[in-house]
Amino acid sequence: MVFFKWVLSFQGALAGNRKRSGSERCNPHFNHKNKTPHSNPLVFQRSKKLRFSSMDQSPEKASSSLNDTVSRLSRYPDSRLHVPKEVQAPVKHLKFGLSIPNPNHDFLSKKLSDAKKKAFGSFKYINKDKEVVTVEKDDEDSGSWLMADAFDKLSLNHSDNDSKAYNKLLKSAERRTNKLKDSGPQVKVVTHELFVPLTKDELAEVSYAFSAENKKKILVSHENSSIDIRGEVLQCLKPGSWLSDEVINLYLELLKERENREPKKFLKCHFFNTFFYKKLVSSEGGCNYKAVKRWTSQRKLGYCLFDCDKIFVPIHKDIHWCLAVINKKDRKFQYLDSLRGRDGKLLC
Amino acid sequence: MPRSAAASSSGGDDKALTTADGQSQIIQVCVKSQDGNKVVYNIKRHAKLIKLMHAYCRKKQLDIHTVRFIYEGHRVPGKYTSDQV
Repeated sequence: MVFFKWVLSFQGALAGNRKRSGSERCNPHFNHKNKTPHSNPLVFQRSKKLRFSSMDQSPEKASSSLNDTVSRLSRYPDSRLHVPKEVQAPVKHLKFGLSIPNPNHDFLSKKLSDAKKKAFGSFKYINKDKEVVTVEKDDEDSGSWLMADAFDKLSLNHSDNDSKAYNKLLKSAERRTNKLKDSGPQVKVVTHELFVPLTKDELAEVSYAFSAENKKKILVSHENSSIDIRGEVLQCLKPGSWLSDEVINLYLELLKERENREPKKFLKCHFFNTFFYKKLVSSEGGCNYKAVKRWTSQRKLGYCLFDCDKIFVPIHKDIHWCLAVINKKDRKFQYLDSLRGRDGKLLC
Repeated sequence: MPRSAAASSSGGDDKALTTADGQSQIIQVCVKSQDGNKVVYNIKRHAKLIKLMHAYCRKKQLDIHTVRFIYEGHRVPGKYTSDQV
């Protein structure tokens, strides 16, 4: 878990870096092009935000900008006023279906609305132009330069802060890893037991095993149990397909082998194969002990069945696999069914 | 028919009894299927059991991959002879 957290924070730091570097990438752009401000919309927006401080710096230039606005105003609004606006005039709603048209009234109202349009329109243009002009001024000023520099510094500061924080994180991470290493073998065991994501090679192997070409090919041949796993059999592990007994039997064999390899680590278990239960109840009217009498002879198994802590019996119920466990250690009979089914007969 | 059921129920269980003919080289092997039918084969002691399995499958018209031969709870390796088992 801790590892995971570190990784996350590390990635976060990386992402921060990326963002910052992006803004830095923007800045030179900003510096170079501020002499022709309208060619670049980005520059335009930036300088718009930074207007106030530059206004404070140069009040004389602001007055000159006012003069400029007047000269520009005379140029702009009239030329554009003729363009009709869509939603400027108040719309008259007819409350009652029929209304007597009054030509005089219409004419007057039209004039009024036109006048209003003009007035509002000119207002708008004045406002807009003012904005534009001041922006232009700002851009021509060294203010924008200053701002750009300030931005650069800001971002640099950010990067400094980030790198500091990152370094701190890294150091703490190193400290923790050292602690983990010191804390002994327990932690190591846990990491071994966790589900580890497959590597690229392993994934390739999986896709190779599941591929249609290897259907008839024997992928694994288990010597001790003389079970051969062909690609076709392995296909049953795909989602939505029917589980095959070969796979179960081989897996149980492998579990037994693992137990034999490290007897101290695992409980002493016995795994019956999938045929055992079928054989046991094959005859009508209860169990047929005689049929399986020789299956668990001590000579054959190499150990007595009564010494085992757990005995696993896989059970096949027509279309479903379940597992019965004789848990000698906890003195329990357990019946494990993924569909939560119950079988009263089984445990009697 | 579900795959898992086919895999386990059509399996012909192997010889419940093997009666030895004294010192002779021939052994009688009984193959008992899950539905209780028995087929008796006389084979040589040093003959590989895979031969018997193929003969049984041919007779019962089964795919060899869907049948498991079990002797005393364990799979019978086809490459073994009856003596080795």
